Amino acid sequence: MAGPRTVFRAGRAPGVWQAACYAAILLLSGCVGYGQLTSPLEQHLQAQQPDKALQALEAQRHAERDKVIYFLDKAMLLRMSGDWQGSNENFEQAKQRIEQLDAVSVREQAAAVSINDTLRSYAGERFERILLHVYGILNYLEAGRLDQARVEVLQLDVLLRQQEDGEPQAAFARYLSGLVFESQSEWSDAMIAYRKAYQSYRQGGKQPVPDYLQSDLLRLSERLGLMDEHEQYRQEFGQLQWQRPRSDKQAELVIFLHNGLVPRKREQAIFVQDPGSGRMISVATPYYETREAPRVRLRVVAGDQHPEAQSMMDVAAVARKSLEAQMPGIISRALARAVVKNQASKAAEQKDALAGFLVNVAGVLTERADMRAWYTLPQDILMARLPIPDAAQAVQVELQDSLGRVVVRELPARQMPAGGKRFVSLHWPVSKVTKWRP
Amino acid sequence: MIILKRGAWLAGVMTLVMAAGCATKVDRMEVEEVKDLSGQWNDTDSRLVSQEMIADVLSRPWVREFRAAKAQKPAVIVGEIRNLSHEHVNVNTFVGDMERELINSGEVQFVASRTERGEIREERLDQDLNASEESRKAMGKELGADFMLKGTINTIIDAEGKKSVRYYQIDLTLISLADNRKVWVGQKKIKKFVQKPGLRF
Repeated sequence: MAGPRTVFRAGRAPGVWQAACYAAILLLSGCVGYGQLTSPLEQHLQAQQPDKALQALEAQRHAERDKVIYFLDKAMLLRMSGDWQGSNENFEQAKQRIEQLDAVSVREQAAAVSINDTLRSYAGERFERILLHVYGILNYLEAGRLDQARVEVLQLDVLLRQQEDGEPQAAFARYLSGLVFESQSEWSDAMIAYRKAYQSYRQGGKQPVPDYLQSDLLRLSERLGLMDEHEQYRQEFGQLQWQRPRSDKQAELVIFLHNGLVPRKREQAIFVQDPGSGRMISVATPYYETREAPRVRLRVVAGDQHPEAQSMMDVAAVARKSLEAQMPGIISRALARAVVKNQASKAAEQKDALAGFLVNVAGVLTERADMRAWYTLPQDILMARLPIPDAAQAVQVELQDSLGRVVVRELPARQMPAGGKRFVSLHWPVSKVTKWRP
Repeated sequence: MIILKRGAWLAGVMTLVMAAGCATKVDRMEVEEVKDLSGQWNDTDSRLVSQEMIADVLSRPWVREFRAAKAQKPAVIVGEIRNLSHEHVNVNTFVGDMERELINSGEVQFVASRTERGEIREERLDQDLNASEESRKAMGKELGADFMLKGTINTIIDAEGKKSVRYYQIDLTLISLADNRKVWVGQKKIKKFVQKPGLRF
């Protein structure tokens, strides 16, 4: 499905052959583009077959400049299949590649302002870099490797410190850091992480502060004897029901639901014919389609408890905001490209009219929006936490879709140390596009 | 003709240059040679820290005092070395380096780790069933450790743009298993200034 093509009024009537060529360009430009069509990889994901999606990913060709996306997608598909170690090996490869790409490439920048943005190496958007660590942490937590999860939390902290505290896209990452510190009985570090998460959720505005975080702030501020702060939270959170842990030996189950698939970027292109010279000018920019994940209710059934999951991170909203923030740069580069391509066409035209026309056609055909992104991310991350009296007990998880169908999954019993937390993830990568246009 | 020849030469040289750029190049180097690539914890850090810290622990009075009291070499075991740093440090190689330094010093006796002991006990159980009486090794004759070496690897990273200072602190403690006394506390610090390139090809 192609994005919209807007053609503005032509200045002077072109020759028949010239008009035919431009018409062909318009048709062709509607057919190309990374991420334009539903890929086999996505089809397998929608069918909840991550192993087949992985085969589809491996069957694709991946240019060197797109290697970061390849590692991120592979890592995500491996974790969906339960291979946490393999997943983290790929996250490490992605990290190394991103670090190499921190240096600016003059060659790629020149290509971006003369051909298109896709010729730059993809180094991941900031929210994707944050989520790389988040999923690395989740892999280690689910594998029961707490110390390694802590290492990842510290790396994440170095990344988050590059921006001021309160960055909305860091809210869930900070919360997860708090959970890791708490798992290691590092109460004050956990408190600091929860405070920063609270600040980020509040600054983000759209995402409400999760009840779990409110409860954690109340519980930890009391535990650490920060009574003024505790009182302040009591007033802010009103009638929130929160529970003090019965003892430090109380085991806890933490379940994450990775719901839906993050929307795809599409391309919108504007074609204009210069009234004076008759040359075609095109400017292509990306936008996000609108996607809806099914409204899934996650209910955990353990004894007489059955808490429902809460949204911790609206990944789709964060992705949209990230693109909005980048748009001034994207548009500036697209306009600079239009000038460069027009000048090249003009210079060629002065020597030979046909050469000028061909350069113009090439310039229009190569104008493409950069639609690359980490598309195996979910649309939304939800979480449920519940104390379980017996660490080894089996737990039932119910997923109910919008049609009321219930999928029940049994989490097998697993030995845990007293007071330990058991982390579990469920991926539900089902979603459908509800609006193609921006 | 001359132009053609020159063109062919140029093409040949270009091909060679490109081929050289694409091929994997391997240079063998001495194990002791220091080569810092990313600024992260590497084999050199692991080796130097273990050498210096084990030299320090063995030069302290606790060895002499134990020998005087018990008339034998102290038996030491390496316990958990926790990685509390920013990096996924391979703690196993660090522990391996320390074990080697301790054993090769000849000053102490060294006891197998918990995992190794489990495997050996299984072997002894197997011998009970399958080995001849003369060659069978009895249970309950293991050498118990007198001291356990425990520690942490910590880091502080201060980064701004392309520059960062990486500070490593390795703390080791030797604890008497008989009475929980700390008989030695050692610390080693490493500080690195790392500057990443601003430009690439």
